[in-house]
Amino acid sequence: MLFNSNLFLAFLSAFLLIYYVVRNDLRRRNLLVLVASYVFYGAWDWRFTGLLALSSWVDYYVGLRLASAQGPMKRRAFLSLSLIVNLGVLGFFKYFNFFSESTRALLAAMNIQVDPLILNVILPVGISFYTFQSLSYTLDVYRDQLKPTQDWVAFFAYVSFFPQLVAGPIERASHLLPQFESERVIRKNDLSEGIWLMIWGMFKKVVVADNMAPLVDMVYQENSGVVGPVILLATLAFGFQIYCDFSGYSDIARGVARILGFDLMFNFNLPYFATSPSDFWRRWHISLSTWFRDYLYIPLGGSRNGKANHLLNLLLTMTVAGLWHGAGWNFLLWGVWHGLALCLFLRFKPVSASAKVFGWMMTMVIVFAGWALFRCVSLEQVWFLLSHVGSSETPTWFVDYVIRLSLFVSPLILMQIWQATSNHKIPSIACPKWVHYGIQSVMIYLVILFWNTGGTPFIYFQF
Amino acid sequence: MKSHQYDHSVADFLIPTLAPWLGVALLAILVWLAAPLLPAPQAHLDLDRTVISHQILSSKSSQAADLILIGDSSCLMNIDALQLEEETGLKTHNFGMLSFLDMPTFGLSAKNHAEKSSSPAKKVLVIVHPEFLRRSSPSRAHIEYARSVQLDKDYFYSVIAPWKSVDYLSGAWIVRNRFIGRLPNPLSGPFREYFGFTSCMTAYMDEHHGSAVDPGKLTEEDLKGNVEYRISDYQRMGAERFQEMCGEEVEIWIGISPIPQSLVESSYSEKLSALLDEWSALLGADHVLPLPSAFADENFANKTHLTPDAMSDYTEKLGALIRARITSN
Repeated sequence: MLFNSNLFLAFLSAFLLIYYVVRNDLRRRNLLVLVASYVFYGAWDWRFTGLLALSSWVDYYVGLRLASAQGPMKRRAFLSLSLIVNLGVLGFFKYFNFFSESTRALLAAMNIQVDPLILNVILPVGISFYTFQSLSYTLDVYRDQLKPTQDWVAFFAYVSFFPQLVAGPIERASHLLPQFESERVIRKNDLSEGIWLMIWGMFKKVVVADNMAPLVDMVYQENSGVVGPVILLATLAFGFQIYCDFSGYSDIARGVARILGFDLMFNFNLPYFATSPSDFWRRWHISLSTWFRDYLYIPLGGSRNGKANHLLNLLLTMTVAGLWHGAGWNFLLWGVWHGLALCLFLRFKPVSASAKVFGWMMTMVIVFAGWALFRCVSLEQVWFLLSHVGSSETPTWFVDYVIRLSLFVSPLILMQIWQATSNHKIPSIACPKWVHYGIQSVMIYLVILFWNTGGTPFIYFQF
Repeated sequence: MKSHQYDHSVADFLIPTLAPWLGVALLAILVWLAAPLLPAPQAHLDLDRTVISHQILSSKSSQAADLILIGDSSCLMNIDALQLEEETGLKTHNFGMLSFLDMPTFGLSAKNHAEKSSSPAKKVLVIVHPEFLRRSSPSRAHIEYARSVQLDKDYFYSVIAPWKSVDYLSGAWIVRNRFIGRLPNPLSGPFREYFGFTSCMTAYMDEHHGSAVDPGKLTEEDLKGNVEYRISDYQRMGAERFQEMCGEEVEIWIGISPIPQSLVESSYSEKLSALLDEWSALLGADHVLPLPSAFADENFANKTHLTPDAMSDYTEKLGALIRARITSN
């Protein structure tokens, strides 16, 4: 069920009504959230709800056993159980075919022909998100940073919470789980900000991202044969598409959660205003970058143990983060690319205005070049685009392309500049009411104008 | 334990929920009121709408012609009017549209041309595919779109659905027809690869006197299905109406588009011949052109359209037949 579909609007309306009815009973509320979340997830394919339940059950069970287990060996065994099940499920569904095919290619390069096992498995939507969310609970309990919950309904609702189930933010149990175990208070600003977030997120997805998609596909679809400077424009378009698609989802998720009285973490903080690669990763997909920081980078040693180890840890963390996004060499390369950029700019801390401008330009070059790697479907395509971007050829539709790109991106850029220069992430809140609501009205109108009744899938669902 | 409490007044809930919608309502009123002052509708939002509106609007222009081509997408995409003009020496324009439409809708172009052209064509060549002939009903949405273009009205496909009501009442459909449709909109599939935007396709059609090409690639799926072709009752009724719309002064020439060779059965040529006779009678045709009934599969972009290369070959053959017929007359 897509946020940007008529079905979801109907689902949410019905849910809010029942949510109001169960306001006096916490367990009923959690049960309602749990059932609704499974219905929401099952709308893609009911069989995947089994995986969601498995992941939840294993981590709930391991959490309880970790609390009662005596001795590090036992605790480690329970932690291993959670890691094996969660990463095993993720590995099987997401990476099996990739590793199988890569092994075949490697052996073929050594003149050893094998017929690898390729399974016809469908990637369950959002598996990387809920697996990491569920896993964070076990890891926190293992580290004694969190007490295990005794309430299975609250825990299952936490793992499957429908607003952020399929594309995050990847919530930490320490932040979200207590919200399921306590009474929520929905205040005036929760409603007004929640509604604003939903409208803004929908605008980014329906008006900007969905209108960028065909422009990107014109150049980035396999064998498009398009060469020249339009490749740079398409890369720019993809940068805006993926940002609006993903941050749009996060905004809608945060908005829906907010009107239910839940607070989800901030996932994007104007990433295209970053002045260094590390600044970018503090602003882009914050819930994932902090997850990797806390559960991989720091356990690896972080910045301790010398400069060489520090660089290696950065590189390794970003490589794994790249592979988290998808089972493909381009994602791996994208991770390595960002890892190298982080290493290269490790000591770069822009303070002066000129250093910030330089840093911003360099960061944007790195980030957008990275998007080219991210969007390509094969290494051959990466090579083709790299070797043809300098061509002076322009397609007949070049001007049309520029017109369309500018038209749909400019409102976003204006709003983001306003957000960056304002004290509030909802800058119009400081304006007179009629301006604040007027902006929302225009955004809703544009959403109606470009609405696709069935919805267009979000890019990050495939991860 | 309580689950949650609403620590706000009813007004705190209603204002942020309804105020943006009030703004939407004001915008809607503004659009409805301003509609007569806005630019004329031109909803080039996708391939189909681009083709239909280009052809109908083009038929309403004052351009002179000796021969006009009317028909489904096989007429539009199998014959290059520019090349045909060079082959025959007859000023030619292609008003071919889509097979989702029907004969009376095709007839609109012929009627418009007769009424608006400074020197209207006296020859109307009707080219359709056998698949079109057996189609039992047209697409209502496409027909409604063609009618709206003919009447210079905004297009709104009315189906009963809550979302459609929002779209209608907000006037979003008016904005879509008047402004969004005029933007360069990206086409989809192989048409996007070949033409890019709707604006590029209309430029191509202008340059080629109304003809377009299908850049697609034939798939195995295209070669499935039976060739038990016949003329449906719906098309029979449409043929009579078409004849009336053309008027008595014009000569009606007819031809039937080729099918892929691998679909051809042993009795196909007899069936086609019977089909042509029947179709000719229904349209009151003056000339029946014995066009090639089939081409090798590799010459097809899909089941009904030739590739750009084969299109040139086919147009050449058509040109030769027209020349011969004119000379013999």
